[in-house]
This record gives sequence, C-alpha cells and structure tokens, in this order.
Amino acid sequence: MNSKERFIAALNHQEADRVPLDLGGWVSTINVKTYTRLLRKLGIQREGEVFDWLRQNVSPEEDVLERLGVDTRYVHLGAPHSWHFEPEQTDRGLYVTDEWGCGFLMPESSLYYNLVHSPLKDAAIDDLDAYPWPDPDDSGYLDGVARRARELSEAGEYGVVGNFAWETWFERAWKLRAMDRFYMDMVANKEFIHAILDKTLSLHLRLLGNVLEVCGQYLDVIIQGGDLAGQNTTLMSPATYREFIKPRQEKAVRFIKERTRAKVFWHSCGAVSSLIDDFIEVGIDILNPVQVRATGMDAAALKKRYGNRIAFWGGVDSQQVLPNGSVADVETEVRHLLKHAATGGGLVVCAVHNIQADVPEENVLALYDGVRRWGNYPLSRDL
Amino acid sequence: MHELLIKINDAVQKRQQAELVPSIEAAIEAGLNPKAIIDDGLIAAMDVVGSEFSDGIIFVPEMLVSAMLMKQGLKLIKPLIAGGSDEKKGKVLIGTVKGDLHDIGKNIVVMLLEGAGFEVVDLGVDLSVDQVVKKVAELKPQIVGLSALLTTTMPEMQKTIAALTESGFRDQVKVMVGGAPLNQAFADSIGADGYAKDAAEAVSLARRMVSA
Repeated sequence: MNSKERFIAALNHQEADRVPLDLGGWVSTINVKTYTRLLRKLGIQREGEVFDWLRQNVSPEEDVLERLGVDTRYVHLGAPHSWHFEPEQTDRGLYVTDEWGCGFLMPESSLYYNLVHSPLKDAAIDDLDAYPWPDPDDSGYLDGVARRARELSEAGEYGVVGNFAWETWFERAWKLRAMDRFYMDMVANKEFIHAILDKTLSLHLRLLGNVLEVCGQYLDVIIQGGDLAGQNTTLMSPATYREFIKPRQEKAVRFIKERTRAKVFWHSCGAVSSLIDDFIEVGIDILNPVQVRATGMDAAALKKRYGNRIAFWGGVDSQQVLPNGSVADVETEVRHLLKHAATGGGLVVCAVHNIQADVPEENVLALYDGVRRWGNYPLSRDL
Repeated sequence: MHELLIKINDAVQKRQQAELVPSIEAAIEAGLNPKAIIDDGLIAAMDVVGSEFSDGIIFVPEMLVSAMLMKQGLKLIKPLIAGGSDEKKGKVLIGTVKGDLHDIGKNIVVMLLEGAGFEVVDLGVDLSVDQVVKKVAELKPQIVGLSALLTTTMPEMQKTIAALTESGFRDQVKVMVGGAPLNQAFADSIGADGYAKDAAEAVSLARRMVSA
C-alpha cells in the first residue's frame, strides 16, 4: 500500500496499513530555522529556504518528506505577475505591502511578518467597488500548477493537496478591515461585513475556479479555512457564525464539489467544537488542526462524538508538547492521539500548527517516527 | 437606582448605541453625580458584559461594541469631574512582549480594565524589557500586565520579571500574565504574581491585586 492509498483510505474512514502523515501545507509546514536544524540532524548540508514569506516557513523538499514518511504532497499557487515581494527596510523593521494592499511588518525581534496596516479600516460599502483588488485572473497564480498536479496525480504515489487558500476569503476580509473593526462591525455594521465577505469570496472563487479548471481532476483535497475560535471559545457566537460565515462556507464547498471530487479541508485554530456539526452540514470533510489543548478539543472526545462523520487532520499539540516537551513527551502525545482518534481511519497526523522556531528538531522527528512506529493498523492494544 | 442610570447601564450592556448619548446627556442635565454615572452606569454594565463574555453568553463582537460604548460614555462624563481627574481603581501598565505583535486579546483586557475603572497605560506590542522598566520607573503603576500569543515569545515574560527585579522595582508592582499558550503553572514558574485565562478573569485578578 503506498502513501496515496493510505491517505485516501484514511479520509474515507477506513483503516489502511498505517495512519497517514502530513507536512508542508499552508498550516502544516515548518519554520525555516527549525527546518535548517532538522536538515543538520538528518545529515543534509543545505539551508532551508523561505517559501511562505509571511510566516517564514519552508516548503519541505522531497528527501526530507521521504525520510519523515510524509504521505501528502502539495500543489501551491504560483506568484502573481502583477505583484512582487519587495520588503522595504524601515526603522521599525522589514515592511511589505501584499497584493491586497495590506501592510505587514517584521521587526528584528519577530520571527515573521505581522499585519500592521488594514487599508479598508475606515472604508464604507461604497468604497469597495473602487478599491484596487488583486486580479484573480492574473495568470501568474497558475504558473506550474497544472503540471505539478498532473505529475503528482499520474505518479499516484502520494495524496495530492491543493493549497489555494490565498489567505482565504474570511481571513482576508478581516485583514483588510482590521480584526477589531471587523468583529465590531459584525454587531454594529452588518451590511459592511456582508459586502466585504461577498467581495473576498467572489475573488477567491474566481481564482479557485481558474485553478480547478486546469487541475481539479488531479486533486484529492482542497484547503479552505479561517480562524473562528480562540483558546477557550469561538471568537463569534454560533449565531453570528451562522449569519456571516456558514452560508459562504456552504457556497464555497458547493463550488468546489461541482468542479472536483476532492475533499474539502477547513482550517480553524482554537475551540471550535460548537461549530463542528455546522461544518459537517455544509459538506466540509476534514477538520484541521484539532487544537487539542483548546477547550473542548480533546481528540478522543471528538472522535467519540463524530466517528466517521468528519475526518481530523493535525492533533499533535504545538502549544506545550512540541516546543517544551521531551522526546518522550512527544511520543506519549502521539500514542495518546493514535489510541483515541485513529480507530476506523479518519485521521491524518501533523502538528496542530506550523512547527515553530522553538521546537527542537528531535521533537519533530519524534512526531513522524512515532506515527510510523505506533500508527500501524491494526492498532496495538498497548498504545 | 435612578431610571437614567438604568438606561445608561442598559445601553452599554445591551449595546443600544442610539440610547447611550441621549441618556447620558439627560443624566447630566438632571444633575446626577458624574461619579455615579460612571460607577453605576458604565462600570456596572461592563462588569456584566465581562462575566457574560467569560461565561460564553456573548463573544468578541459584542464585547468590543460594549467597550466602545463605555468609552464613548466616559469621554462625555470625564470633563465634569472636578479638576478633570477622577478617582481611579489603580494604574495598570500593559503590553505584548518582545517579538510578539498580537494584540487582540491584550486589547480586550485593556478595554475591560478601563471599563472596571482602572487607569490603563497600553504600551502596545513588541515591548522590550527596557521599555517596561523605564515606564514602570516613570509611571509607578501598581500592576504590570504582560501578554503573549506565541510560544516563542513566552520566555520574554520571565526576562521582563528578572529585569524588574534587577532594577529594584519588582516589589513595587504586581505582575500579571496572559495569552493563549499560557497557564497557571507557567505563570508560577516564571515568578509572576498572577495569571488570568480570559479578560474578565484579568479584571478580577487586578482588583484582588490592588486591594491586597
């Protein structure tokens, strides 16, 4: 059984030969510094290269993915022709304006870029039409996409995941508006929130339509997402979520499923347990990352409650265990996850979020080696 | 309680934006004590808002709007208090530690502390140890609040506490810490005086700290 078969079986809630592993996506990759340390540890003499400038993460290379036993491979968007990454040195640090006009700053002290300028903070609905939106038809976004997807699909070795999140329609909307303003408007200026979400969703779907037209048939999973929760609870009430987000999630999922047989993955950090039934209802197939230390997000309880109705992807704690735990702690965490969430398939394992710069490389290896050691079906009773 | 105070309280608590300013103006007109308007109208309302937030009855959007209304109200009433200076519950210096630019959670804590009548000096984000020490020396707060979202920046909290000790200010301030990846055990391990898991808890903690 190869990686692709293993991956597909798991997403179909079947037990393959072992629980599949992921690394390299929008929210499941690794910081460039940690990656370089991991390369040293593996005896590989090259430096990690930043792939995602915003988060200073890499797209791991084939030799590392093979060594770790990663079962997924990613197809990423190309770079737009109409915008170039040009960081400017300011007295506060490196500053970048992205293709949406949002400003990001990386002070010397910071490990990545942070949103500091939201161009639509004071805009009214009428300003939205005149705003210089990025062009979803910019052919640069499609550079290399179809070829990479076709090659991966034809080789048939790995699960093929389309990372066309483009920072997603939901997160993009609040980045343009500024987060606090956006959340206030959900109560005090609802029309604006509907208008800006309609705009970002339509741009997102336009781009996604272009992408799926050239490679939809090659993909196994498509990434969608947007953070809906914090550590203890959802950021907005379930009712507010149902008013603004859910109908658009449903629209996006339907759009995707009309164009490809790929399953839909939704990323939201935090304590989203009160929304999972809604996710299932709109047709989301996979929940990421299952932030296990957030309230109500224990993987065992969620598996018991949802069984084969939604697959879980993630599950290894990145708030305490990966950065601060020992190798033995990581192994215990992995075994706990496998014991309680892997029965009957429906689980893909990776860290709860991108592996950060404070995670020891030994712990990264312990995660991947641990799943390969203890994640074989039938699962051992001694987990 | 006077009917207008109930109206002001309701406007903040139930986010009735159109009611707030007219009710406050009417209360001032009626000669109600400005301090009572603040305490029984605004602060009492934000207490309810804080516990509703903590109990999962309301969420970030509602909380932010209530806090905004409370601030609007304070702006109207403050000039009426003798000499422009009102009696504060205590002074809190607060910020997100170095390397961390996340501030939504910290901003909510600021709003609730202000809503509870504290004087809050928000030092912003990416706060160096030296900035904290300098501001403590200058402003002499009772409480220093430190926030972090990233596991990679949590160690800055310990460094800040160490710097306060070295500079001789540690016993003059209480240090409270918060942020998604933190817990009480971490707070204890770095020698913080308190940890709060959400903004409403931060207010209770601050109240305990200044009354201790």
